[in-house]
Amino acid sequence: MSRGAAGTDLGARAAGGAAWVAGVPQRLNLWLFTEVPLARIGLLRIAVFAFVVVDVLKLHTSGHFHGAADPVWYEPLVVGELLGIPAATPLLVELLKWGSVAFALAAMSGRFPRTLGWATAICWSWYQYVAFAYGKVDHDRADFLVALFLLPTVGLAHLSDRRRSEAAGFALRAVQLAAIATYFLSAIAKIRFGGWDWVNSATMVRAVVRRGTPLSEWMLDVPFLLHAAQWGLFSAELASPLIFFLSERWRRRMVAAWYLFHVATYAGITIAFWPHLVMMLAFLPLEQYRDRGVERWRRWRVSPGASRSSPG
Amino acid sequence: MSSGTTAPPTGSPGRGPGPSSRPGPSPRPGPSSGIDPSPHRVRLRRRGRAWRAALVCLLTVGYVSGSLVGDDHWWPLGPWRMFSTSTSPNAAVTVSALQVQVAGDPAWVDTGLNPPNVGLNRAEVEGRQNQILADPAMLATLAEAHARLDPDDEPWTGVRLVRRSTVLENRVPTGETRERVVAEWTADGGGVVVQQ
Repeated sequence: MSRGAAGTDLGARAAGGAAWVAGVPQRLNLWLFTEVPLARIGLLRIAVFAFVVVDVLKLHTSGHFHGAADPVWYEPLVVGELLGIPAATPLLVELLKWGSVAFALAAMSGRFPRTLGWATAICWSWYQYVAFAYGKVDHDRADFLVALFLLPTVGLAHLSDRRRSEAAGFALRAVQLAAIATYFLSAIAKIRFGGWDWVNSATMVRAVVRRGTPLSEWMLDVPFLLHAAQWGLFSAELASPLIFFLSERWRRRMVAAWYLFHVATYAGITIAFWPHLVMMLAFLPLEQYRDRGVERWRRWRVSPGASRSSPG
Repeated sequence: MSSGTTAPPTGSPGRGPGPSSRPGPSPRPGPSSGIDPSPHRVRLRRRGRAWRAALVCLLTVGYVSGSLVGDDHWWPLGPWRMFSTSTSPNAAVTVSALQVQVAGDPAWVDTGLNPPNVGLNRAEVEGRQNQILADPAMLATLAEAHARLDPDDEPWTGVRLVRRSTVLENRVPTGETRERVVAEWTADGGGVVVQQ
């Protein structure tokens, strides 16, 4: 190749590179506002609000008991100091608990999506504040606020509305980003608080000693298993943002792998990051699953046991 | 508050029932580029895109700085530090427990260190150990909270905080456990630090 031709080639490459860089904001814009069917938002909202009801009544009740604790144990968080939030009282925790339940149930109807959605968001996040302002913060609940506050911004989203919406796409993308940030930033926290040696420490042994179940206690006798699990978890967390670069098929496999990890964690140390499990639904085409389920149900209704398709 | 969407006044192409399943007239394209003539798409106006993009930037800065320099008090922007600390393979794993006394019985009996029993959970009490050592009479508030939560139970006249350790050797529990009382409060004697 002549020098002139090489120069032209390099010039063309540089121009191509510059064009690629210049196109980044546009691609980022397209990616952040990728249109999705409004029905998907409608379904995700039902899951989110149903979770709020179950969470407040059954899963995370320490906020309620803090109403009975002496105010001497109250330790305001930064947001509480900024907003001047006082210590909890029995009346306040009842209002927040039943406010969360009532607004979430009403929001599940899909009506007044902004008013009811944000009312639920405020009640639930204040209730979480009460739970966390007494000395212990659970680290799995911050990302759920993104879902609660951003899903209402989509407005009306009928369960059969197949129009594709940028606002819906943005809300889903934000929920996905928050969910994956949880994994990635918890790897960062391990480096910050546990040091690079976290992977070689006995953190999981400690977890099993403190909260083990018959399904995990046998692992204390096979210590290399928990040691290897620490390496696996840490690597998976650091690599978690790659999910945004995968094909759709592999993205869903990765979501399934994370769900399996959470099932194993629950079996082993009875800890589940419940709100986060709901957030991960944002990666899935919920309206397609719903349609498939309905289709199967109809076929089964027409002729139970047969696999032939029905006209419906 | 407006979300900045431009919802075309049309139906959906969907098959399901509902108000949005009827086909409608196409909306007129607006003067700005934010409106799409397709009845199947709902696009955002420029302003709607701008505040959303700004919010993502703001949240990113908040969460990343919370993870790098923040602490639990920054919630909901604090670091995601569940199980982030290191435990030495040859150390002891320590758990706090609560013991109580009732009137007329000198025996100390184990009781749950959990919200339904005392209004607080184990980690919350463990996190305040220094405060409890400075003011062991603080344990009396646990007896008061228990009386509020379980008024039918016999009132506690003494509360003490115990630490139990399981010794590890090369990641395996040796079977050896140690127990020591940290602080104690009794209705007669008040609060005392038992051992530091």
